[in-house]
Amino acid sequence: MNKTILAVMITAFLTTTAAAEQFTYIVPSSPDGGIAKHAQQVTKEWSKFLAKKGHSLNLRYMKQQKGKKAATEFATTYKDNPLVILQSKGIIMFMTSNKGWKGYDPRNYVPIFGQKTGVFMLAKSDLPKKPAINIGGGAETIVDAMGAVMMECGNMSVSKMLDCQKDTYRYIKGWQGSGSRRKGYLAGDIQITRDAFKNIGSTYKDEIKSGKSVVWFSHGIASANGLVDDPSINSAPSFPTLFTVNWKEAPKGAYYNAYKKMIELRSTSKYIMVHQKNPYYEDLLGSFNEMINDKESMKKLNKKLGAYPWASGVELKKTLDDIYSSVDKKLLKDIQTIRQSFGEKTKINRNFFK
Amino acid sequence: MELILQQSVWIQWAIMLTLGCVYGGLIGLIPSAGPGKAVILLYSIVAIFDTAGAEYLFILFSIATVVSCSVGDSFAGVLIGIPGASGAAATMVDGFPLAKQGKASYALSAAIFCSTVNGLLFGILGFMLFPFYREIGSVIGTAEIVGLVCCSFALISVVTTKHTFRSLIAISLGCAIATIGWAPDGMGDYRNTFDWEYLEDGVSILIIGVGLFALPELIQTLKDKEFDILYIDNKTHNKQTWQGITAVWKHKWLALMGGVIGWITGLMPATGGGIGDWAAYSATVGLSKGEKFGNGNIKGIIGSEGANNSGKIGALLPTVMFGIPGGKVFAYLMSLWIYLGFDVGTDTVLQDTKFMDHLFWGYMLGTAITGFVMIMTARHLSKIVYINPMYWALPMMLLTIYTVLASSGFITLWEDTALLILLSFFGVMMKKYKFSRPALLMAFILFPSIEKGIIQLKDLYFYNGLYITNDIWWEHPILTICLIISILLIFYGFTQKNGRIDYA
Repeated sequence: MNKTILAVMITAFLTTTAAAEQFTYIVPSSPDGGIAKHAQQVTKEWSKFLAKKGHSLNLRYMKQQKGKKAATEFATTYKDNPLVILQSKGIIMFMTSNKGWKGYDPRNYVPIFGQKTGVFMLAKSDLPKKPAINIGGGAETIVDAMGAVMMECGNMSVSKMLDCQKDTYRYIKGWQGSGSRRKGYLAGDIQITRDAFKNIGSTYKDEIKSGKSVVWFSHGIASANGLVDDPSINSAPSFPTLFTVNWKEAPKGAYYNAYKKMIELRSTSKYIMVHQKNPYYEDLLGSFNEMINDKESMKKLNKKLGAYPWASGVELKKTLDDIYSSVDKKLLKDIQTIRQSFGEKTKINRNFFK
Repeated sequence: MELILQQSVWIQWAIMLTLGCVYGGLIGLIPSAGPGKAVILLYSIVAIFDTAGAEYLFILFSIATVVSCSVGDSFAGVLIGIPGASGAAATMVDGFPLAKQGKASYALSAAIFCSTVNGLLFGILGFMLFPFYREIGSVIGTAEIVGLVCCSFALISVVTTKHTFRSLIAISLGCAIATIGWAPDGMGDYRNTFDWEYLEDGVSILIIGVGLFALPELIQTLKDKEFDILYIDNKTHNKQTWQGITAVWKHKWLALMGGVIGWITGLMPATGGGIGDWAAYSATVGLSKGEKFGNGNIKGIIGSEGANNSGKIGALLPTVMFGIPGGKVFAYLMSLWIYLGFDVGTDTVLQDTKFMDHLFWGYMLGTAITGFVMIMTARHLSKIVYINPMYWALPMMLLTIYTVLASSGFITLWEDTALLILLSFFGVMMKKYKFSRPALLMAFILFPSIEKGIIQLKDLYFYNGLYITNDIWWEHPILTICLIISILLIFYGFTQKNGRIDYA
């Protein structure tokens, strides 16, 4: 009898010990970056539920090479480490740059969970004849400028749109991060910009309240039905809604397809992933499911991150696979042409279609 | 944390302020560390404060950490010739020679007193201006920022040594190093990386600072075996402490000018660290006709330290008001505050009197306490210069190297080490052959801002080669005035028969 109790106790001890792990959550940004702030808020809640399974989380920031270093480290150094989790970033960058990925391919990893987020476009109410618009973030803001261009030019072929693009706005480059861009907008140097919902209610609150600025439109959230209205600010129409009202027809054509695909990729880019056959997959996913079923946690996260939809496990995997598989060579070629027209040295990643 | 929260409010405040001041002060003492590193380390402990009531204590603790670290980072520069942070390098230029002359207490007390007084003075001014910052913010646009950065850049010509040609080479080298990495238009292209992926992010300012200044000075120290320092007794140390304080009063207008420069540059989100201190130092040199700098001129310390803590309050304003960080330190700080649930940049925070109280008193008391304690202990700490460097130079060198390598999380260990060795070699050579290292560092710090500013002005006002508006010079008089001053400064700097800074 005593031996049985002892055996049970030893087994229980070993099981508990083996299960208690510390995960390293790699964030491809400096601690003050947008995705880092998102990761900090998520882990704050998620770690409570992970702790119930005996695990803990440790955030590690890798800002090098605009996050590329984090991706390549995950693909090489941490290839066989099941305790390392990677925050996704730069999927468009992955598709449109050719060098130095060292075997990293986001399609090879297993997503655990993610949140679809949105971005809003703001404009000064009194726009000059040829307003200045920022595209300073390079990869980050070209798609915002594309939305603004389409809204002004309507449905056109890519070549005609590129001509219209040149004549519609002045594109101001060289902003050193979102802080200086916001300052530039508030000082009136740029009249159109983009920002996340959290800043709409803070940085631009007075501008909007006094009527100097309006929330022009949201790019929308990726869904099975295309881009749908952003749930965080209900009063702001999504791009397709406002476009249809303005032009009496729905947006369409190759330029729009390129825009839509980039918005879909950006909208679904805040997810975390692990290597395939990760033995802790169930624990990671299970603790996330517990978190989204916890009212208190979700209340906090909705307040901080916006009431954006979450996706996880197989459903998220399917969403991502659908988005990736819908990118064909023609679409990527159009994306390249458009991005190059804004001045980016885009080159299609040859490995994307292998 | 629960134990602390069970105490009375006064005890809670006392504990947090003490911890903030001690922690920040100690990090500030570590060569090449500085406020940025001090705040980054707070990410590992911020979760402790994530309980009801404790989050406000974190505001107190974190802001006290930043200001005390800024005060403390003068020590390494003055005592051993290693900048505590990139900005503190300006203090080192005249502070270290003074320490070698046996006037370490004099230099330190002047530096700390000036930094503390300006911190308090501009702190009050800054908090008073909170309600008006929106108006101030709307006046300072891209054109004004470019103008002010141009002025700072032109001031480099003032800090050149008497070897004008060599200084020009140093400035060119600083600009060239600054071009490495991502192109300033933000369009995802990089340049001058020689196909070395590591260089895509550019060269870290920490590696430049340590490579050019810290390691060459430590190597020199080890080579010399001992400092050629005049030994002074305790009585003289005490006397020097008082002399340092009175020197600040004597040169109060220079101190005030430094404070204004630091405060204004702190307000600008696009400029980056260290500009205020160097700009104030250069302005001091420019205004002190016929005087030598770089060999222990107390004015050099007062000018640069005047900008030290005033720059912090300048950077705090846009952070709290708009959620636009006034620099990297405040970007980190802001994300920590957001983590704890404070909606920085919103009216919620501005109307949260508890938040504002903790911020104000954390800033003011942190500055005052650290300043007082540092002045009291300066005479003891300054005795490090009497200790044979053989006992401390090597550990200090290892600590400095460790700080640099740890700053990137050891992810780029070999690359950082290789670059550090290369730049240390450069530093040794520049020191030996009198190429101005301060000029190189300033050029490196300022060049990206200048380049970005020119790109933006071109797109804003000279789009497609067309003159969009003829009114730019009248619409933005600050830009016009700054550009005229810049041209005059460059002319003045390079036409001086005798360069007035004797430091390379």
